[in-house]
Amino acid sequence: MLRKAISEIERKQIRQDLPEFRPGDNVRVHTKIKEGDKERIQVFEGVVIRHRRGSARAMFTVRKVSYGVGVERMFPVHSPRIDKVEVMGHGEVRRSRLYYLRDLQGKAARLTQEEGTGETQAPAAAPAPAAPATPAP
Amino acid sequence: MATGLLAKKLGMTQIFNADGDCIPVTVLECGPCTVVRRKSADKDGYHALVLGFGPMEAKHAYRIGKAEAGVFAKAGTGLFRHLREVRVKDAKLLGELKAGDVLTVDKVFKVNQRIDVSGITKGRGFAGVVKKWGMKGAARDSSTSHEHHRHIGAIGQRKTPGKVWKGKHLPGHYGTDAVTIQNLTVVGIEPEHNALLVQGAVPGHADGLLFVNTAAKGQPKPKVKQEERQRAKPKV
Repeated sequence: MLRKAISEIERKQIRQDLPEFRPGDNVRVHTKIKEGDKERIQVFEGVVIRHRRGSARAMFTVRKVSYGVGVERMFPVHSPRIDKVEVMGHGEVRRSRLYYLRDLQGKAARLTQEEGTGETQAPAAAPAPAAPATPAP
Repeated sequence: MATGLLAKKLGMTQIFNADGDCIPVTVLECGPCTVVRRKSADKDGYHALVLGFGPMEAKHAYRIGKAEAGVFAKAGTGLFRHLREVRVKDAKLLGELKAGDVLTVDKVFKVNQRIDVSGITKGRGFAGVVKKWGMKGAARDSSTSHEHHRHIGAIGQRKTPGKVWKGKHLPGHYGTDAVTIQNLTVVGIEPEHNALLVQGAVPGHADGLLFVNTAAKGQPKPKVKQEERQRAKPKV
C-alpha cells in the first residue's frame, strides 16, 4: 500500500507517444522553448549515451560534437517540454553507458550502425554539424 | 472546516507542472481524519477539534489504555491510533462539525495553498560536529595529524573567560526533533488515495506521522492585487 499511491501518481506522468530508443541510438530531440510569449522548437541531435530507467523519473543523455566541442544534454523522458523524439538509427553497442565516447574523437567516435537503420553516422564524424539551435519556422 | 489534518509520509517523487517544470514532491497520505471531540470557548476556553487518524480494531483497545478508549466511546467513533488537537481562532471556521464527522484531504486543502508540516526528524544518534553543526573539519590529507579530520577545534579562549560558553556547538545526540517546515506549497491532491502532494521535503522517514496545517504566515496574495497596489502607489 505504501508505494501504491506514489506509483500511480508516477504512472499518470508517463508519456506513451514517444518511440522506444536505447543507448547507441542516434536521435533528434525536439524541445519546446519558451521565449516571452512565444514558443519555438529546438532540435538537439546526437547519440544517446545513457538511458536511466525509473518510471516517470527516467532521464536520458544525448551527446553530440558541436564545432569540435562535445555537448551533452540530459532530458527527462516524460517531460511535456519534449515535442517529439525521432530515432535516426541504431548504433551497435555492447554496454548501456557509453561514457567511453567522451574520450574518443573524429572517426573513432563513430558507432557501427545496425543494418537497415538510419544512414547518418555518429555526429562526431559528420562534417561540420549544424548550428546547435535550429529555430523552427 | 478544520485547518489541519494528520498525515503519513509515503515518500518522494517528482511531477511535471503545467509549464513543464519538474517539481520534487513529497506524497503524504493525508487523512481521512474523524472528529473525536469538539472543544468550545465556553467550556474549554478555546475553539478546537480533536482529530483521530489511523483506525484501530476494537480488540487492540488495550494498546491505548482504558482512559483513552473512554474518549472514543463517548464520541461514538471507532478507535484511532493517533489523536491531535487542531486549534482555531474563530468558531465560525469549524461550522457545524461535530464528533463523528470525517474530514478528507480534498475538503480541507486546496492546490497552490501554503501549508506548515510538522513531524519528527530522522534520528541520527550521537553525531559529531561535522554532521550536527556543519563544521568543516580539517584537511583529509596527512597535514592533519592525530586523526583530527572530523574533530572540533578549539572550544574557548584563555584565562578570560576561563570557561566554555553555554550553547557551544559540541557533538551529541542529533535528530528525532519536533520540527515544523513552514510555507510549503500544495502542488496536487488525489482524493482517491487521500494523497497530498507537497513541494519539497518534509521531516521524518517514510511511514512517519505528520501534522499538516494551514500556513501560520498566511496565504500568498493574488498577483492581480499586487499589480493594483503598485499602480495605486504614487510615483516619486
